[in-house]
Amino acid sequence: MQDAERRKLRHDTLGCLNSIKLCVEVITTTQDRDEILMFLDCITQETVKIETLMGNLIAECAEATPDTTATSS
Amino acid sequence: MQRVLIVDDHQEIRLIYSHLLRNAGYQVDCAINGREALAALDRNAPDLILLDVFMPIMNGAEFLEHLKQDPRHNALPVLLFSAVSDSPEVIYAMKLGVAQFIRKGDFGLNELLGIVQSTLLNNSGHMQNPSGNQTGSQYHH
Repeated sequence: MQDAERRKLRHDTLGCLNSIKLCVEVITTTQDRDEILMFLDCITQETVKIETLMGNLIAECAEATPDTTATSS
Repeated sequence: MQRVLIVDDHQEIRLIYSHLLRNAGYQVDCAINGREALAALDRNAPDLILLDVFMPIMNGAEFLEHLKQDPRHNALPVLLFSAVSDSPEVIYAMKLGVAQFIRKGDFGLNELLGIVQSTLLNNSGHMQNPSGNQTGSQYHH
């Protein structure tokens, strides 16, 4: 993975986490049921994105870490 | 009424920020990348731009390069925001000239609104509420 891709992955992951934080802030400050539902839906969307991003991150870590379990015969 | 242009490819962030700013009385336009933002500038000139850095097609720094070369819009205040503060893209964008850099995650919604209000206030040189009318002590701290 290139540096720029790695930075983008980090940026996107932090961006999703921040977005969830802000959605929670909106939900805790509004009485409007439609708004609450809309921002709950946003949280769901963000968690789905994070799941994908974490998958990419784990793949990146596996790629960067030498396989120490391999044995030579 | 004062107008804010939100430029971010992250749909949920556009939704949250536009919800915040509309409730505070601002007109809000949104763009999903720098290229769309340039087109939005020609349709409705904003009073302030909230600009993300990492975006496809045209990122925040590339948008700023265009903006700074345009005499019609180069004085517009830009609040640059990003989830990261230490990437070369962010550092380069800041060097192009922005009113303030905001790291996503460091500020809650009320703080962000306060930054938008104070930036507009500083830029206008006189006190205005979002409807553009003179106001009394609303923005005194």
